[in-house]
Amino acid sequence: MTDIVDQPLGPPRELRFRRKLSFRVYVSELLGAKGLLRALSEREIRVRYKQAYLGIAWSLLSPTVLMVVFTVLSAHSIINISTHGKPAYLFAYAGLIPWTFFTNAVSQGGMSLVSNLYLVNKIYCPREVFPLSYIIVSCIDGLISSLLLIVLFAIGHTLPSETIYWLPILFVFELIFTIAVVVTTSILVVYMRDLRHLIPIVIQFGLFATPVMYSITTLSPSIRGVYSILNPLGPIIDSMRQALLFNQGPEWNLLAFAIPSSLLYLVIGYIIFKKLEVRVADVA
Amino acid sequence: MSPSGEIQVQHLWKRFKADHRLLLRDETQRILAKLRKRPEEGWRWVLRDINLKIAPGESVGLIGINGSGKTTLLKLMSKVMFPYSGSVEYSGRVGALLGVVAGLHHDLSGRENVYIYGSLLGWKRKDIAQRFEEIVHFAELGPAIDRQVKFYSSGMQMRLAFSIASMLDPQILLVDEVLAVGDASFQQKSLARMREVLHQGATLVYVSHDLATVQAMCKRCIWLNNGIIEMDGPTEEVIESYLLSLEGLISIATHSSSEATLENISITGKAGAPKTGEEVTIELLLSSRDAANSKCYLGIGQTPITPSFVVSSPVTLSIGINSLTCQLDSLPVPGGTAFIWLGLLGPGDDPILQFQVVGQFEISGSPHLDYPEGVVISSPLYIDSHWTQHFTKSG
Repeated sequence: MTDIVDQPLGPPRELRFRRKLSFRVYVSELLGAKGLLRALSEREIRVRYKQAYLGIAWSLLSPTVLMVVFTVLSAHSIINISTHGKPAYLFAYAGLIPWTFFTNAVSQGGMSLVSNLYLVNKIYCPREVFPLSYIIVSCIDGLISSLLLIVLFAIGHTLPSETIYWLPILFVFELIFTIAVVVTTSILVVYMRDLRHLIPIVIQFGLFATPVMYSITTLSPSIRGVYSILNPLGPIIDSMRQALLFNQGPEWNLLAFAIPSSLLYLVIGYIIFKKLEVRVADVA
Repeated sequence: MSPSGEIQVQHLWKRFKADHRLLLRDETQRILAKLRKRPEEGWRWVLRDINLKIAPGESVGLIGINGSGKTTLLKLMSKVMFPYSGSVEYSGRVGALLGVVAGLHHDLSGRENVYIYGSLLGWKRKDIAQRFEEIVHFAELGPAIDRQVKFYSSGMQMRLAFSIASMLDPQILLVDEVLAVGDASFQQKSLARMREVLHQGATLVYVSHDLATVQAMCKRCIWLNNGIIEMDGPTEEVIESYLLSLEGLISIATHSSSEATLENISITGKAGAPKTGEEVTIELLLSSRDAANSKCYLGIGQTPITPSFVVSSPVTLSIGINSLTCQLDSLPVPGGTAFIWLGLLGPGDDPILQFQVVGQFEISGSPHLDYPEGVVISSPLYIDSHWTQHFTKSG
């Protein structure tokens, strides 16, 4: 067999395959892959709990441990963070549920294409089903860890605020940002494997850069707008806690920055994903 | 709108990085090279300007040596990969069996895998439930279906994966070398299953190195060589040309050793050219440098890969030229090009001459033998032979 490395000849330019960006086509393809999405999520959940002794309880572990640490530290005044009159464990846990959802989705969904390359290589489908399926799994984990809230409210002898009805809407905002981050990360990791080592570091940093265990009012008012654009998760998580514990509606003045920027991240991330998706099967 | 089951491939080009995986590094280098208007380096064209049209219901075999681009073409057809340039168009539901075992998850039980793999292939849950028994029965798994797949043998995994994948009723079936694992009886079963899909009017594109099954399954055959279509036509003709080209790849060592040399070999039929079903005579001239009791093996086959049959006889070699004649009452090989093999083994199976292809000849007669489509003949044959030997002259 003769090797044809560096062969000068190639196809005429006008025949080059160019992927047209058509969101209409993407959405209809994605809707056609609903069954696949369900199957992948179901598989992930089954595999996760197949050989784990603690099973479902694992979803509770990470937010619970962080909550206990926070509670102990603030009880001994090692850290001094205002919980605005609410028990520290409730204050922390209310922020930790949406945060854990986000980090689970990013750390697992970010790796989804790489860990499923054997399928990416063999089965034709819109590839975003892989990151999306892990987001679904993280949603379920999040729901399970929310159950502990009931216990915590009982311990604190309090009830959730009336404004709790804002939570689903705020969660949709969080979902938009999460999809943007997960989809972008998943495709970049395929091309840049080193990135996988960066993900946990960024997540650890994010725990401190996001008002999970402190209130967003800690930040000086002058930078809150810019901060909301850079980290939309901040006002979203803070608003969730406000709605759950403090009987306050969403902080629209900050969300007005956070929501458009999340949408922008999503559009940019999705375009990057679709552009780079073309050569994913070649990389594997 | 093209009719369902049609595949159209136009000006298809595909290239890979020659020596390693494509990474971001390469992308940046590519963009830099483009900016500097320098030619991009280190790419290898895997497919070059492929044009194809496959009609609905057609069964097409894809053959070629390793690295000729068969699997890449199949992946492009299934849209798992995107082309560098050109287009692939098809209409209808595609079932692609590309490395089927990959779809199974080892930590799940066989039962769970049926459902999940089925959905991966685009099935609805209730359709899977409906055909569940059929799948398990076809895979011959029985109670093992509730065991985790990692405890299956590779044959069991193969059977399960193939059963799930082939039970969906595709309009286009793309198959890549699925029969590599699995025992003979399951291979027969899966061939039968593929034929069934064909009979339902599906289009089949089948990649395989097993030419016998290609011949059995496909009426049309495409021979890929180095990324281009070398030949496209009726399977028999394409395979014949392919085999002839392969023969050039097999290095035919000299037909001599320190102990003996094959001086001449000829094969004749009753009326000159050897003919299928008629008596043939093979004549050998061997010069030997030693006197030895040996055994002579002669084989004839349609491929230079393996002979269809081998006959043998004890031979007493003397120093000098030895003449040997072997007569077959009926030549059991169909018409076309055939290859003749020769080997000589001394006492203690010590090879005097290695068993190898020593020549190529034409057999007149019909190239077709009559047997049901899809039957692969691979068992050894006993062929009657009559041998005579005489010493010609002293060396």
